[in-house]
Amino acid sequence: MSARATGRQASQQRATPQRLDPLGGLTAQYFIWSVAIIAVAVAVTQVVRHANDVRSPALEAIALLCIVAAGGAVVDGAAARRFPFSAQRHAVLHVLGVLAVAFDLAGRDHGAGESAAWGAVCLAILLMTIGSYRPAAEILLMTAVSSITVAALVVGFSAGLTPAQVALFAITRAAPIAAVGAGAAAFSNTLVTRLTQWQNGAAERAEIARATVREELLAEVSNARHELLEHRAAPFLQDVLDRGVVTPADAARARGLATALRRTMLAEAGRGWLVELADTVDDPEKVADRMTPQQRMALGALISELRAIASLVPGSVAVSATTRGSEAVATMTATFTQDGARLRTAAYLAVLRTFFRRATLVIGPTTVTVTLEFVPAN
Amino acid sequence: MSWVYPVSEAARTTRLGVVAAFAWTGVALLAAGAAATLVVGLSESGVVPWLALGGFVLAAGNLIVSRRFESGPVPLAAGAASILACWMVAAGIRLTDLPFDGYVGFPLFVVGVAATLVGAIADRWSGAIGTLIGFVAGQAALVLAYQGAVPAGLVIDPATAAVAVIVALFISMLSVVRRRARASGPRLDDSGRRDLTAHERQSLLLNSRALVHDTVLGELAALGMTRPGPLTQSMATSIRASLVAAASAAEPSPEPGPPPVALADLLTRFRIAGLHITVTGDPSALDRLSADRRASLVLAMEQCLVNVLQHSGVTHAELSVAASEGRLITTVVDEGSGFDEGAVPADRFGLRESIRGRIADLGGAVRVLTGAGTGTSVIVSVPIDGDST
Repeated sequence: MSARATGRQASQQRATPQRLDPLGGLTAQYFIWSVAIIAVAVAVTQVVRHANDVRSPALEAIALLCIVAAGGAVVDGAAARRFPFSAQRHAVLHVLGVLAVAFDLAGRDHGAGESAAWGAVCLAILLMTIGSYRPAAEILLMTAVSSITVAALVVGFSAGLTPAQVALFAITRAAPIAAVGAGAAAFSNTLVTRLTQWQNGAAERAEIARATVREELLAEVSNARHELLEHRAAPFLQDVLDRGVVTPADAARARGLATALRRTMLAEAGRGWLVELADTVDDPEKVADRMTPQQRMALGALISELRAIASLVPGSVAVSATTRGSEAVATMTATFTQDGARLRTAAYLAVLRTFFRRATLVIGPTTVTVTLEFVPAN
Repeated sequence: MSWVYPVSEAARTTRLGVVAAFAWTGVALLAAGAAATLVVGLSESGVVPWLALGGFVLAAGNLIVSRRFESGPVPLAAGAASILACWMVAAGIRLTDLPFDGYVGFPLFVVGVAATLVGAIADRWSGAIGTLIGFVAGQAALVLAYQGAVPAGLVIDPATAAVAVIVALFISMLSVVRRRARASGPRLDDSGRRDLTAHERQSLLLNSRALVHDTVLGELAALGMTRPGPLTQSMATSIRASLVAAASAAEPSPEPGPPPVALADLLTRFRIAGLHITVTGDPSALDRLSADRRASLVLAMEQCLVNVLQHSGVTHAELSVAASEGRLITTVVDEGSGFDEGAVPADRFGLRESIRGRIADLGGAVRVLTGAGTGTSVIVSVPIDGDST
């Protein structure tokens, strides 16, 4: 297998549904809240329902806190400002879930008895949306470790039970985690496979679109150049050619035309892509021109979204960019007459964080400030 | 063309992902249910509950087969198989004379959940209605198997009902939530289209400016420094060629064939103008670029040589061409006066646009090694089209 093929495979293994489709991650974010609330509700209900079996309220309370913390970790991790949902956070979720199972088992009279089951169920519920964020292999691995650990904990707390009871309880406690993990892994694998296929096709479609646009623009640019030259420079040169003689006036006129032509070309060359979008651009080093197409798309879309908000103060969209060592920092600010930008701009943060090394969005009562860090392209 | 994953594609992908998730969650639960049933059967009654195990296998197969089919009579067949599987599990457990308590609760729960998930998978339209039908059908089969032995109210499992309601709600929420989360998609698409157009316009304008610089602007500059008198033959030829070139298309022709300016012609032209060029390396490596990219590279090299001729104060330069690791590298070296790149005025387009701009447009890079009195080396590196070495 070639090094390139190995690299591509490794890259696919690292690919997560959320990285390939940040908007899909935002869809899952809505479910995260429901899942976290259901998990905590199930935990509280089961603790109350089986309160008679609780030997140590302190341990049971810690178990409950573990589930609450796990729910919080999932909700926080799915927020756009935390993009992407990390493997470490995924591991923390499992550790907290398994700890809840352990404390619940330790806090009950009957140990691994029938009443001690909610920890595993709650962890399984919290894992329901993990397929939108993490790769299949990682989900399967962590799920397997958690399932086996939970089964081992059940065996460890099984004093007084028959071997059949121990086996039954171990199976029923580990099963929800393993089952939901398998489902989440299948979900993640399906998304990554189809998103990767779409992206491969998208590169080809982009090339076709590029060629079409270029074809359409070719005549426009040719005409612009002809207008530039035909007006003065080309007739002058043709005149000199026809006369076959260079006079002192010709030399002076040639210098004047060259200066005028340079000035026109300089003005045209100085226009960056941001000039079309922002009201004020402060980018003396032309750093913004060295963003990737995806970075330009994301920032351009955010500015367009801000411009669509009625309360935007006209002329207030300003972008500044500068280099800081080998990196570049771009800052965009916009001012509004009233609050209203929050809902419409927050969704872009995940997209910005996909394409920029670092992206922060500060939404004040009447201002929006976006800071983007990136490595300038060549 | 879309720059972000389209809503229609996202809906289809999510649907396939959810179906896969349901299928494998169900299969894993059924495996655990079968294991629990076997443990309970062997320990409590000493028999292998074959009928129940057969029900688990049927339910698992039903889940796997159901997700493979998009249309046809599969929903009906899947529903019938679900009912049969639930009945087989419940009847099989009942045959082993196990008491109806917590021991049999888990196997009945998982087979009921499997029937619910089959309903969700089989309903390709709403999902939620199929989920509820699957739940009802599964529970009906369980009640039927325990008819006369256990009241229906005890057989119907509240936990399975909770799973069915949650699954149905989640499926119903999916399309609403997706629309909200993907509201920014069209804006991103518009931005992508606008950026593509702007980028291509910039690229064409850059090539256009470089062409004007290399032709008409060069002629005007030369005329500006010419002593009054008859126009020389070489100057007239050069002006005529420049006017023809400036009137041509904005970019090099993408048609295959030899570049507009062949390397041999270039060397001859500069030799006549007084610059002797030593070529080293492998000039045939230029043929590894497509016609339009080769033409742009040759124009950039020509501008390097123009700079040597006009500014270096020497009459000899070296041009080397080499291909390495998927890139074509050309170097123009002279031992002339050199220059301070930072001191080049902004309105001088030769190095900035005719060389750097053109090469950047090819996805390449330019390095200039120079300094006052130290000569100049311009190293140009461009990726070779589709090279996989």
